[in-house]
Parts: sequence; structure tokens; C-alpha cells
Amino acid sequence: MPREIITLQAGQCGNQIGQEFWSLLCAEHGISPDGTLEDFATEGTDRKDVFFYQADDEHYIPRALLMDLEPRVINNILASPYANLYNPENILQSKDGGGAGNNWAAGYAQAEKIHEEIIEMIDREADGSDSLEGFMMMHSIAGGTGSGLGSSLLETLNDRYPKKLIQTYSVFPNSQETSDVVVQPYNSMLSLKRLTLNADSVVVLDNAALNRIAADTLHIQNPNFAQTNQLVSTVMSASTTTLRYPGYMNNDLVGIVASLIPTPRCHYLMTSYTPFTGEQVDKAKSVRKTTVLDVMRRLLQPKNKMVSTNPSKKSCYISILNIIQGDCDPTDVHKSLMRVRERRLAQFIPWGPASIQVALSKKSPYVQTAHRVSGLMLANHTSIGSFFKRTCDQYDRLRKRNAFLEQYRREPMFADGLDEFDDSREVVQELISEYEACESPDYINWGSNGQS
Amino acid sequence: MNDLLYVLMGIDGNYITRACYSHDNTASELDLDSIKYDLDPTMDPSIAELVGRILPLPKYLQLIEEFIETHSKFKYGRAQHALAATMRDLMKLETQAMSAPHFGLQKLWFYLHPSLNTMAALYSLIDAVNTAERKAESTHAIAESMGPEFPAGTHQEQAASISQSRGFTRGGGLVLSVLCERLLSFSGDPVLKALYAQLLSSSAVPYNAMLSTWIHSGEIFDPYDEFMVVETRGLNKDQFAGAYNDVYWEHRYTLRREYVPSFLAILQDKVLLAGKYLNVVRECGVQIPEPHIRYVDYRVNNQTLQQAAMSDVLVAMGGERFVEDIETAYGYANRTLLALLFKDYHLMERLRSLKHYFLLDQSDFLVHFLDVAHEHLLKPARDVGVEQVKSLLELILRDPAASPGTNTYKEDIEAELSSKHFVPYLMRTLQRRRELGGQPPGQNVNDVEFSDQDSSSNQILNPSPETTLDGIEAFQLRYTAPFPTSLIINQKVLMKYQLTFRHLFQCKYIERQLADAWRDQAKSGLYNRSRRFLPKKTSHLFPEQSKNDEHAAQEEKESIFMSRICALRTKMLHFMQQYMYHVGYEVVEQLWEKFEEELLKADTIEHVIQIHYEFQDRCMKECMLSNVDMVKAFRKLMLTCTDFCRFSNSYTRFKSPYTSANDNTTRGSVPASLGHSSHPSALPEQVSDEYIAASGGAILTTEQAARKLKDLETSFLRQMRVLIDILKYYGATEAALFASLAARLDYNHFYARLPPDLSIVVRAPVDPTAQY
Repeated sequence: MPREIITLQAGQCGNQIGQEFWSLLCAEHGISPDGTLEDFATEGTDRKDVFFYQADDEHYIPRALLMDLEPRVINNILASPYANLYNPENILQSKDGGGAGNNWAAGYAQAEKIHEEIIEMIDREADGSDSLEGFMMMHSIAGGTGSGLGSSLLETLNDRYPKKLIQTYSVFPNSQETSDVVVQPYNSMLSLKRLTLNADSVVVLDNAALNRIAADTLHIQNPNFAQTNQLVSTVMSASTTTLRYPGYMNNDLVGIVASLIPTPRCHYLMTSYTPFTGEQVDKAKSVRKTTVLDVMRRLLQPKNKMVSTNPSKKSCYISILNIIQGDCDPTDVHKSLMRVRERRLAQFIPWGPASIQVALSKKSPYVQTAHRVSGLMLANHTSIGSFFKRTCDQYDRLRKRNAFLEQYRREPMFADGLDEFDDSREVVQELISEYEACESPDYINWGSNGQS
Repeated sequence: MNDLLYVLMGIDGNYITRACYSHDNTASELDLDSIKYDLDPTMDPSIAELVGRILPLPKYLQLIEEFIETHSKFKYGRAQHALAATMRDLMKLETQAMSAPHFGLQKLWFYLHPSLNTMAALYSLIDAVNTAERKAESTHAIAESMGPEFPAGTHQEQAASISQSRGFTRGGGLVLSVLCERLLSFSGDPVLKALYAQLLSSSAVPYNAMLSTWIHSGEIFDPYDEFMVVETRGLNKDQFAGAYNDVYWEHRYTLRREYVPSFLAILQDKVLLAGKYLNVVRECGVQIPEPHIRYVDYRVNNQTLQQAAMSDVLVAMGGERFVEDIETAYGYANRTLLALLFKDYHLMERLRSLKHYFLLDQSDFLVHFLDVAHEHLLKPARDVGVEQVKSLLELILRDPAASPGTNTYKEDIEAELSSKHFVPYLMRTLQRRRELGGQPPGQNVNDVEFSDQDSSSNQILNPSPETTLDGIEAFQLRYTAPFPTSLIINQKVLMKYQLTFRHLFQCKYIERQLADAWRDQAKSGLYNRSRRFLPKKTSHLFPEQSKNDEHAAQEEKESIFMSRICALRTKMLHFMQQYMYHVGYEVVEQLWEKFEEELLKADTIEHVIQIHYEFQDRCMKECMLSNVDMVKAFRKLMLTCTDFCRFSNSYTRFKSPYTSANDNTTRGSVPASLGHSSHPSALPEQVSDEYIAASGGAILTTEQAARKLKDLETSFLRQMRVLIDILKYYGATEAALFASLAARLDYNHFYARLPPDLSIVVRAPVDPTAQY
């Protein structure tokens, strides 16, 4: 009777991350690539049933739905040793297999076409769980499928399961350099609207930051997708450890997310993880001394954050949750917390109590790491607004010139006009303003004086 | 002279058969009550004088004889038997001396003189024994009438057996005590000392044998009911099945203080426990292993040694060897039982399972349990189907998928509902402990005064009995510790766990409700489309549409109201989670580690029990459960949180587009049977309506809602400040741990920066009610 979580993988990036995530989860739970439990893992104290269920022959099947509009990535998965892990019924590929061509509108429209199938899959999976906690979606918002299909999924889920938690791990495009996908800002903007209105919690993963981390801390100059995806899957697995290895606290997703997100709209979380080691990404051989204080300090450093932001002087944390894995002494934790406060390493909101919450969690006994302690930070920080602002700026530049809009107009949603673009832009603008407002002590009653 | 000899002979040993001789040949009149020898007045005065001096001897002899006779009877127990037998031996010795024929009167006197002394000593001893017996008898009779309250049948049986022996016997222990006392008081006289020593050592033989079987194998062989430890028969183990296991062990073997020989007094508890533990071991069907028999041998050797070096050992009867022996046996018994408990009965795992269930070290089972059972638990406790709740808990615990490594001993845990309110119960416990601690109850008086002044706290501490207890408050766990482990996990221990659990359970429940409130708020959509954060120019894009604008303004107000609810919820959740973190990682985990460490070092059962108590007491103290101020402050906060959750629930349901009335119309496409439209923790519609109605918050008008929210905000902030102050105070005076908690609760100095007048903070800038 666990609180199950169903994972949805949309698009190329989503499925690649998903693949890494599941292989990591399997390793941590002692499940072999074909789903059978390894002999050494039979007496574990972990909860596998949050993410897996057991088939008739006892082998573990992930509660995962794999969706893509082109067959390449999924075919790769099906050619890997993990091919038999998934339930074949849970793999959905578009019949025409053409993909969405990096067009949000195309992805969205194709998703409408296969709407029934998607709903059928989700319902089946949901019915197979006793007390479904919610959904976890992995996608990128730059391309067509992850953003378009993903957006459609978010709307569907919110409509059909109005009380279930929806968390997404969204990979944002590298906003600092121009990319091969020129319409990226459009796709991002349209997806951001859905993420704002239809998701309950979004873990923002910025490709630029991922590359930076790979280069700086792992010394890989041109990291490939597999390597950055490993970073992402590490974060995902760490953020779910308290669900999978139950302890005193944070044994349900709602509890974790609720403390991180005070007001519903400001639900974008940034992450940082330390230390990355060879197990996660090859070549990162440097082993340093890890104390709890080291970990906490490094987690707060901007260079370890998986989002590149431009914090202003007023930027502050709305909330922080540090998930510390490994053996650590609570007195050390307390000392570190006090040290962080003394040194003012983290600024907090002025309008309510906020602190670095700490969740101590066990490490998987089956995965050996070189570090005594590792930590994941999930943080709600107002500077994320600056990140969205950059997206907006890029969007505005394109939109001003009305560039590349033709392919969108071809799709049904934009046949009558581009209102959807404007609406999305407005939603994102509100979001940015709200994050700015969060830095003020009057946040709670914001707007009340101005209105009347 | 022959007559005199005959007198001596006649009384010696065979009084009854030889009585005729004495009657014929002497003029003395023998009477059992007052022994008197009438001398023939014709006798030579010098001889008469001598005879007069000798005459007490037969008198003593006769008394001793009589004592031996009576005390050899069946009921007097083996110690007296032994005493009597020794005396008889002594007498024989004397008689031998006398039976040498042909000696003159002077010679006779010469021979008899030392024995006269001996006999006198014996006589006085008998006297002493008799007095002591009479004294003991009266006290015993009193003790008897107050008798221990055992089941009626047992009592009768016991009473019968005791009334049989009443008036005749006291324990052998008593005799030994008397002997010992006299030995010590006559220690100046080497002859008497030797005599007493001999008497003591030989009469102690059977007693020591009993002692030895008791301390070495845990058995009582005591046909005459004279041993210091008594087994209460008729106490059936099955009768006490379940929770009373430890009570059974408390009662089965009891120490009879008046039966304890004085020289054993300081060791009595050890003797009792040593035997008891071995008995436990045997009860578990384990053979007392080999090395132990060696100890028994040693014991036997020791005894012979003791007789040889009699006087030395006996001078201080509780001499070193003796003490050593008991210590060894005690140590051995403890080691055996501890080894048994840890190895065969997995005590450590059991304790861990207690930690698991009561201290929630893996609280996931509660999450799932509440998912399925909260519907039941919301009802008033008396309406809750206990069986249903039980089976649900069972269902959760036996879920095979749930971490197989941890849910050990799940069959021993069971749900139950308490009929007592938690806080008064806790308070009573605290009070009792304080009284036991010998502190003046003055503090309580202050408390009462305080609560009289403050009606709300009065209500918290002493809810009227009519206040219905709902299932959540009443829920507790029952743990059945099987027999040998119940020595450690006894009722007292379980009660403390129970208290801690009920407290934590309620905290968990509140945390969960707050998280649910978050979900409802996030999902209600009341907030997300709010435009109030847009720069002005955008929000006034269409100034001409005044109607639309009005609608927007209303939406704004709602969203501000919602954000206040959200902010308050965040504060509460923050508080609750920090507290739970404190309990889990700072208190329980830390103390537990220490506890386990000490547990492995402990070598006696007492020590184990004691460190267990200490662990629990510290746990409760550091969870803020053993200080009246803290409990009070904490309970108030909890009540405010509960109140808020109800309020928030009814408010969001009232405002949310997804109320039950709209459900079918907006999402007609979803089959009702799907059942996934709500979150697992969401209240079922029907129950939830009742629940809200019961909370008195039915459907709030906007005005009421505004007032209510303001009240909640103010009281939460105020109470929070009080709690932090209390924590800081106790952090400075008692445990630094509280200060750390205070620091974490106010990590960003939010509470510290609050102005003293809270009404400024919670002012509603524009009263949303004015517009409606």
C-alpha cells in the first residue's frame, strides 16, 4: 500500500533521462536490468513499490509510461539490456513516427490525436495502484515532443486527476548560447505556461548549467547527453530517496513538496548536488573530504546549482530542503546550519519563517560511493525569475520580428491567431513578477493597496 | 549419688521410658511445666549443695529435650530439624561423658560443670528462639490478614497452608537470624562462640542447600515453606497471557522479608533475582548449561570448607566466600538470561521494532495506514470500529511489498483505542513522577492557578469528560512482548512508549493535514490565475470594461486571502516539520545510538531495565513531553493547527471549482468508479462534510472566514513566540538541545523580528468583507 508515483517520459530528452533514472533506481534497489531481484537484495529495508510493481512472476516493472513521437530513442532503449524491464503496453510511439519537428504546436496537436491512447495508458497504470500519490514527468521544453506532448499531458492529468500531485523534471534549453533549434524560445514559452498553471512542482534543470557542472567539476569539456543525463538522473534519484528509504520524515511526496512551495504559483525548484563522483559520471576522480558542512556549503554555491541565474542583491531563498545521504551526525548538521546562518551564506524571505530543512536519508547499500556524505539541495529561490526573464527576452526578440511563426500557424491551435503566445507570455510575466514580489516583506498582501 | 545419676540418666534422651526409675529412686517431683527436684532432707548438706548446683542441668536437659521433640515435628521445617538434630548430637556427647561408671560426686561435678554451661547456653537460645517466634508470629499474623491480593482461589489455598503452620513455626531464616545474633553477641566467649558456630553452620546446611539450588538453578525445594523466596502457586501463566506477563513475573516469586536470615539481608534482592532469572531461563525450555553444574560443585566444596573453617567464616556469616558465591551466581544468572534474551529472543531486534512502531523511525507505515483508516478515525472514538481499524493496520503492516527487512514482529502489534484523553493522562503521569521525585507539589498548585486564569489552557489540560475523543486522538498501539522479553519490555516501559507514540501520532497527523491543505490550496486554482503581481499597466489593459474590472478586483481579494492562508499554512508546516526533525534525528536517533551501545555493555538485567528507563525518560523530556510549560505551549499550537486545517479545508472546498456539486458536470467524462479523482489522503466527500460540520465551521461566510483567519494568524504567531521563548529558556537552563530547536524554528529570525504588537502584522490591509 505505498503512495505510488507514476513516471511519464515524454520526448527524446525525457526518455533518455528516464532510461538513466531507471537504471540508477534498479542499481540502488538491487534489481537487475531484466527486473528480477538480485540475490543480495532480498532483505532490504527499502520500499520498491513506490516506483515499481511486481508482475506475476515477481519481477519488478517500473510504473513508467514511455512516450515519444519518433521511434529512435525508444528503439535504443528496447535494444539495451533494459528492454525487458518495461511493460510493453506502456510504450507509446506515434504511428507515423515523424516526430514533432521541434515544433511545440505539432507535438501538442499530435498528442491530441493520440489522446485516447494516452488516457487509456494512464488510467490503466493508475488503476493498478492502490493509493496513487501523483505523477512525475520528465521532458525537455525546448524541442517539439517533450514540450508539446508534455504540455498536453499536463493539461490532461490536471483535468482527469485533479487532486493528484504533478511534479515535473523539466530540462530547459541552454539560454546563454544560440542553439540549433531556433524556435526554442517559442516552445519554452508555451510550455512554461502549462508548467505554471498545470504542474504542482517543477524541478528546473538548465542545460547550460549542466554543461557547466560537467565542465567545471567533472572536467569534461564537451559533455554528451548521456553524461548530463546522468547528472539529472542522480538528482532525481536523490530527491526521491526519502520515499524509497523511509525514515522519520518526508515519507510522502506531498510532505516534501508542501514545505518547499509556500504559495502555489512559485513552484519552480532549483537543485544542486554534491559531490558527483565516478559512479555518476566517469572521469570525475577527485575525491575530497566531505563533511556535512562542506556538503551544505557547496550546495549553496551558485556554481553547483543546476540552473544558471543572475541573482540580484535582493534575491533570497523561499525555502530549502537538503537531503543528506550517508552517515552523518545530527549534531554536525545543526552546527553546519548555524555556521551557514552566521556566515549569511543564504538569504531568506522576510515574510515568513524559512530555514534549511534537512532530511537525513540512508544510502543505497548496493551502490558504493567514494564519499561518506552526499547531499542534494532542493531550493525555491527568487532568482529563478531572472532565468525566466532571459527566456522572455529571447522570446521577445523573435516575436518582435514575427520570425519562424509560419510552422506554428499551420497547426490547429494557432490557425485563428497567436493569442496563445501572448497569453503564455503574460502568464510567465506574472510568474516573474510574483518571484520579485516574494523578495518583499509585503508579499502576502501584495497588490491589495495598489488595487483599491 | 546414684539417685542423682539416675536423675540425669532418666531425663537424658529417654525420659518417657525411664520415668519410672526416677520416680522410684528420688524424691523429686517431675513436672513438665515447672521442673523441680525435691531433695531428700536427710541428705548430707554438702552433697545436697552439690546436687543443688547440678540440678539445673537436668532441668535444661529436659527443656532441650522437649524443644527437640516439638521442633522435630513435620511442620517445623528443615532448618529447625537440623538445629534439633545438632542439639541431639551435643546431648549425646554429654551423656557419653556421664555414662562412665564409678565416679564420685565431686568427679561428676567436675565433668558436668562445662556441660552445665553449655546447656545453659542452649536453654537461653531456645528461649530466644521462642520469643522471636512469638514476635514473628504476631507480625506474621498481621501480614497475613493484609495478605497480598491474589486471585481468590490462590488466596484461600495460601491462607489454609499458612494457618496450618501458624502458631508453630517460623521460617528457618528466623532461627538462623537468632543464631547469628547470638553468635555475634557472645563472640567474646570462645566456648560459646564455638558452640553457636557449630549450631549455626549445621542448621544452616539445609537452608544453604535450598539457597544454592535457588540461586544456581532457579528451583525452589521447600517442603516446609521456610525459604526466603516464595513461589506463588496457582498463578497460571495463561491467566496472565498477553500484557500482564511482566506482572506475572513480579508476583510469581516474592521475597518474604521476615524469612530472610539477617546475614543475607544485604544480598536478598540479588538472591531473589538470581533465582528468578534462572527460573525464567528454565521456563524458556533451555537447559541450564554445563558450566553451571560446576558452580554447584564449587558450592558444595565451599560448604565443607565452611564447616572446617567454621568459626572464621561464621564470625561474619555473610563472609566473603558466601557473598562471593551469591555474587557469582547472580552474575551467572544475569549473563545467562541476557544471552538468552539477546540471542534466542532477539531482544535487540525487538527493541528496534518498538522504536519502529512507537518512535516512528520509518514512519511510512503510518502514512499508508492513515490513507486507509483516517476515514474511520475521524469519527468519535466510541463510534470507531476497533476491529476495522485493527484489520486495516494489520493489512498495512503485512503488506509484503513494504520493506521486508523492517517490519519484524508485526504480529505483536495491534491497534487499539484509548478511552483517555492524552494530555490529562500525560499530566497525571508527570505529576506522579514529580511526587515520586519528592518535590513539593507546589508547582502543581501554580499550574492550577495558572490554568484558572487562562481558560483556554484550562481547556487544553483538562478537557471535560464529555468532550468526545475522536479516533485520531484515541488511537494507540498495543504491543505484546512475549514472555522472556516482557521482563525488559514491561507495562511501564510500554506505557511510556504509548505516550510518546500518541503524541507523535498526532503531530504526524497534523503535518499530514497541513500537507493536504497545501495540496487542496494548490489544486483549487483559486490562486494561480491571480493577476495581482502584474505591473499596473498590464492589469489595466482594458479600463473601459469596468464590470470585468470589478470581477477582477474580487478575484484579487480572494487571491490575497488565499495567499494569507498559504502563508499561515507554511508557518505551521515549517514548525511541525522542524519539530518532527528534532524528534526524529536530534532526539530519538541520537539517544537510541547511545542506548544500544550501553545495552551491549550492560551485564545485568537490572542495568538493562534501568538504561531503558533512562532512554525513555530522556526521549520524553527532549520531545518536550515532561515539562508542563512546554506541553502546554505545544498543545496550544497543535490545537491552532488542527483548527486551521479544518478552516482551510472548508474554505477551499467552498471556493474551489471542484466541489462535489460540480464534480459530475465538469468532468462527466470520468467514470465515477475510477476513484482516482481524489488524492489518497483526501477525505471522502461524505465523511468530510460531516467532519466539517462537526468542527462548527460548516460553510463560512466571507466575513466569518476573514475573522477566523485573523484569529488563527494572531494566535499562531503569539503561541509560536511563547514556545520559542520557553525553548530558549530551557535551552539555557536545562538542555542545549532545546536551544537548537529554537534556533532552527526561527532560522531566519522571522519570529524575532516580529513587532511586539501582532495586530500590526496580521492586519488585513483592505477588509475583503467590505465589498461583499
